[in-house]
Amino acid sequence: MNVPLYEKIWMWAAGGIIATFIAIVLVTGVGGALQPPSHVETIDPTRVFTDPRFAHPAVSVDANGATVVAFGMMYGFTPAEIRVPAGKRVTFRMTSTDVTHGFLIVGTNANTMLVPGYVSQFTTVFQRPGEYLIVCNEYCGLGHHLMSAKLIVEEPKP
Amino acid sequence: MSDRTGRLALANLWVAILSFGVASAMALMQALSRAALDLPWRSAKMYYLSVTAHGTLMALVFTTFFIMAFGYVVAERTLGRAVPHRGLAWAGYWIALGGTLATVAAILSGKATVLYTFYPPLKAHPAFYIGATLLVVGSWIWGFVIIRSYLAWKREHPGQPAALALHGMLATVIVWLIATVGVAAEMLFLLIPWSLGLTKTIDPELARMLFWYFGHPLVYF
Repeated sequence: MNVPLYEKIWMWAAGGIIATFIAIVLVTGVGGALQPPSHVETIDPTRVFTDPRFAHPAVSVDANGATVVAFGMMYGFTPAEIRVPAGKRVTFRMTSTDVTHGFLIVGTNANTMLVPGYVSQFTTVFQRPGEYLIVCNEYCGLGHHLMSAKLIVEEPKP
Repeated sequence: MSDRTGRLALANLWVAILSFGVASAMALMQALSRAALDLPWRSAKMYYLSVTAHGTLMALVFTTFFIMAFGYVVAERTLGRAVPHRGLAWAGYWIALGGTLATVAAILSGKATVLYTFYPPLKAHPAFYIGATLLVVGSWIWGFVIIRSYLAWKREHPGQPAALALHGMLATVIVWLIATVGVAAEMLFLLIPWSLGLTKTIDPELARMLFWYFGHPLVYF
C-alpha cells in the first residue's frame, strides 16, 4: 500500500504518543510501587461492628511488622489515631460501614478506596518517622471534607 | 447546509451552549465558596450541589449535545445530502432534552448531590438516574441516524470513499455506542430499580466498574 510521507509522519507521531503514555503509566506505577486495589474479600457492611475481623479496630505489632485494622464511617476513621513502627512492613485491612470512602495517607503511596461490602488490604513501609495526615479522598456526603485521621510513624523501640 | 438539518443541529447546539453556561456558573460558585469572602448561601450542601451540577453538565450533557450537533453538521456537509430520518432525529432530541431537564431538576433541588460519578450507595432521586438514561437513549437515536446517513450515501455512491471527517464521526459513534452499554446496564439493572425501592441492596464495585466502562471512553469525543 502506498502511504504518503506526510501521513506516515502523523501515524508514527500518533504511535509515539501512545507509547509515551504507556511508558509514563509504567514508570510512575512501578516507581511509586503502586499496587492494584486489594483482593476480593467480602464482608456484610451492616455487620462490620460484630464481624470478628473488624470488631476490634486497632494496630497489632509483632516481630515482622504491624497490622492495622480500621474502618471508615461518615465522617471519620476508626481508630482516629494510628501508631505504626518506622521501617517495618505495615499491612492495612479496612472496610466501610456505609458509603464508599477514600483512604489517603498524605505524602505516602498509601491510597485506597474503602468500599462497603469489601475488605481493602495493602502492605507498605513508612521509612520516615513523624506525623502524617489521613484524609478521605472519595466524596462520601456533606461532611466529606471533615473526614480525617492521624498516622504516627514511630522510631522502633530499641 | 439545508434548513432542516441546520435547525436540528442548532437545537442541539443551543442545549450544549446553555448547559456549558450553567456549568461555568457552577464552577464560579465552587471557587467563591472556597474564597475567604463572607458570601450568602455558603454551605457544604451548596458546594457539593454545585460540584455535582458542574460535573454532570460539563462531562455528560454538554459533550453529548455538542457531539450530536457536530455529527449532524459533519454528516450533511461531507456527504452532501440531507440527514435522513429527521422525525426520528427530533424525537431523539426531545427524549435527550427531557431527560436532561429531569436530571438537572433533581440536582438543583438538592436531591441528587452524588457528583457526576454517582457511586452507590450514595443515593440520588430516581429522576436523576432516569433522566440521565433518557439522555443516553436520545444519543443512541442520534448514532443510528448518523450511521443511516452514511449507509444511504454509500448506496447512492457505490465504490466511492467517504470523507475522512465522516470516518472520524463514525468512529465516535461506534465508541459512544460501545461505551454507553456500561452506563445503560448500570442504570437499568442496578441504580433505577434500587432508587425506586424495588431492590434493597446494590453492589458498589459492580456499579463502579460499569460506570468506568463508560466513563473512561467518554473522554475520547
